[in-house]
Amino acid sequence: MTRRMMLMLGLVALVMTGGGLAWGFWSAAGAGTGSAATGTLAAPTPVTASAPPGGGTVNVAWTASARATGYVVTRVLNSDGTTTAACGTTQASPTTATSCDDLSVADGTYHYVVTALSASWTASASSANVTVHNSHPSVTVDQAAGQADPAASSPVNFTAVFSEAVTDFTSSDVTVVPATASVVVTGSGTTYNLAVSGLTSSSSVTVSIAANTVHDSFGAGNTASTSTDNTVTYDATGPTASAPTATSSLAYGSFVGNATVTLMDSATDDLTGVASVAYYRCAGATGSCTAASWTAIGASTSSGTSFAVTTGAPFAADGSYRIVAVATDAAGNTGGPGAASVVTVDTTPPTVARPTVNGHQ
Amino acid sequence: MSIKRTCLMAFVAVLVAVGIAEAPAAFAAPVSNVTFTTTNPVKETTADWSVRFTPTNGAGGELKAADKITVTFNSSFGVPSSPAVTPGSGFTGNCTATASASGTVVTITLAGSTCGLKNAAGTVTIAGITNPAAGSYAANTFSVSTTKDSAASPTSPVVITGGKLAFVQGPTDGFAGTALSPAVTVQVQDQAGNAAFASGVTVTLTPSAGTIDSGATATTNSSGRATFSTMTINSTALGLTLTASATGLTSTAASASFNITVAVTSGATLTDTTADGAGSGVKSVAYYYCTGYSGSCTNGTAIGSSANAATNYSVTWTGTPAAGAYRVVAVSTDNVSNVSQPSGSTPVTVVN
Repeated sequence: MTRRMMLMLGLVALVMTGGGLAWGFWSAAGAGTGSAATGTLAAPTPVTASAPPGGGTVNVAWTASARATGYVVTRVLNSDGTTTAACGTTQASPTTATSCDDLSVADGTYHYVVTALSASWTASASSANVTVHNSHPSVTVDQAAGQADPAASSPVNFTAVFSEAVTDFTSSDVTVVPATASVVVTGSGTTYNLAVSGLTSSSSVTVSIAANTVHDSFGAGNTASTSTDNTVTYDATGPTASAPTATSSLAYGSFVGNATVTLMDSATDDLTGVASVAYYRCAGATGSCTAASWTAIGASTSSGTSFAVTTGAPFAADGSYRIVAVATDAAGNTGGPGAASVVTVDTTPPTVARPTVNGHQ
Repeated sequence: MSIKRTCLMAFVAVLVAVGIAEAPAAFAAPVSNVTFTTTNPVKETTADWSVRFTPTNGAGGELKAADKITVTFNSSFGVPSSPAVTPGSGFTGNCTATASASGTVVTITLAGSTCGLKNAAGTVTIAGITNPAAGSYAANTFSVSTTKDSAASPTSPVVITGGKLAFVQGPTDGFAGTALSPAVTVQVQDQAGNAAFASGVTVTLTPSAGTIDSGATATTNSSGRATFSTMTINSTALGLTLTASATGLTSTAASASFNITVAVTSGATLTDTTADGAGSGVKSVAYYYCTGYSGSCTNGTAIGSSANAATNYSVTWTGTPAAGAYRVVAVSTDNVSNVSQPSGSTPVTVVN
């Protein structure tokens, strides 16, 4: 009995030397010399709660409480005070750990209450508020509105649109092909322009944003960009026109008579294809034929007809002409005039003397 | 009598005495009825002049072989050094004569064993005299004398007139390359329109257009007529006229017009000269004909065509139409189908 009393006294003394909230309970029975023991169950303070952005998980941790046999974690939604058991803990199934992960937590601002259990004693402590932000910003990257494709000039513009405002989007976050190109990012919030320049040769230009390179205000990284069309064909080289062919119903060698002339050309382009061919003429059979001296004849966009252009009749006043073709590709690049074809217009009938009959006129 | 005349007579007497000069019959009478006439009084042409005179009657004036007749022309006339002389009317027997001239003085020597002139007017014709400029030449600058008679002059001046040319046979339609037939003839006339027997006059025909390719000149015969028997025009022409001209003579008026065409029979050869300049070149020549010599020929009847430049686009015309007047044209087409207007036409005469 004495030992029991000593034990009880020890317990009381132990509890009394503890801080904080204490539940005291007395155990006394019978008469005689009794002993009393006292103790306290300390709250598991401090409680910390943190929610890595985009994860839907709140990491809750607390300090072990002496005498606690387990802990119950409760999530409290600040906006309406709704409480929800967290970390799978209940009174009936407390955790003995001093931390847990509260999974699949919906977006919101919460604080957590950790209740230490010890028999019928409880002691609770609350965390600071923790905000849960589960979403990751998504982003689409596409050709900018108005961007020519194929394009003959740079910069080539793309537009990146995030699902939510991001805070740290820079050009280094952009993946561009070809890698030698440079990107300048402008914009703010959810919408940015990505201007690609430094293109040194004809190629396809593709822009994308890798996952977790850009973050929202909660720190959630973006998902990898998606695109409807994030490729622009950059064509830096004009097409090559050949010497036009000229056909006419009244033709003899390079001569054409008082009839229409159909001009055709087999221009080629190495990337985007020939969009149109324009024809020009210069007077004379020799020499260069450039914009300084040429006269426009007409143009065609019909590749199926070899860009045929049919002139009026006669083609021009009598004389020799050089005809050149100038091709433009789909990107708008215009090549230089090709080799010239010579056409000589002859609408003048021969001169004829009166006939000689039996040697006499 | 003057001293000069006295001295002259004395000098002549000396010449006669020493035999250098022949002494005239003592107090010889002059010839009479002297005339100088010609069939060609046209200036500056060659003429035959007939000199008529009457010697004195009887033996005193009779001329026989070896006798001389001295004829003097005005100094403006031209006399050959040895003119041909023909004794004419009045002379009897087998007269011939030779002559020599010194200046315009012709000395005629009669020959012929039976030749004689007695009691009658005689005529000698001297050929090859060149008439002087037109004008009236004084009678006393002409004279006739004989061995027997002294000199006498005509009573009237000798008149030289201007001359002119006249067509006798004018040109008629003909064919190119063929001498015109009948031949054109031109007569020298005096101012009055009388035929002048001006021989040796070179007459030239000039066409109103084109050229005469041969026979454009002819020389008048002794009748003063030039005959152009080889006059040929090689090129066709319509409405041509000719003018005849000669130096010193008034040219004729233009002749009546005439045509030169090409004579055509089936198988005629047509050729043409055509050019296309800097153009595509001539491809072919087609030939057409229309009725009549003149006018345009735009819807003619096709003859044929040729693309052979090496032959000058030669076409053989077969199936010629009925005989008559036609014109042929050529139409040239180049290699880009430019077609010329019909050429000028060549008049032809189908003579099938």
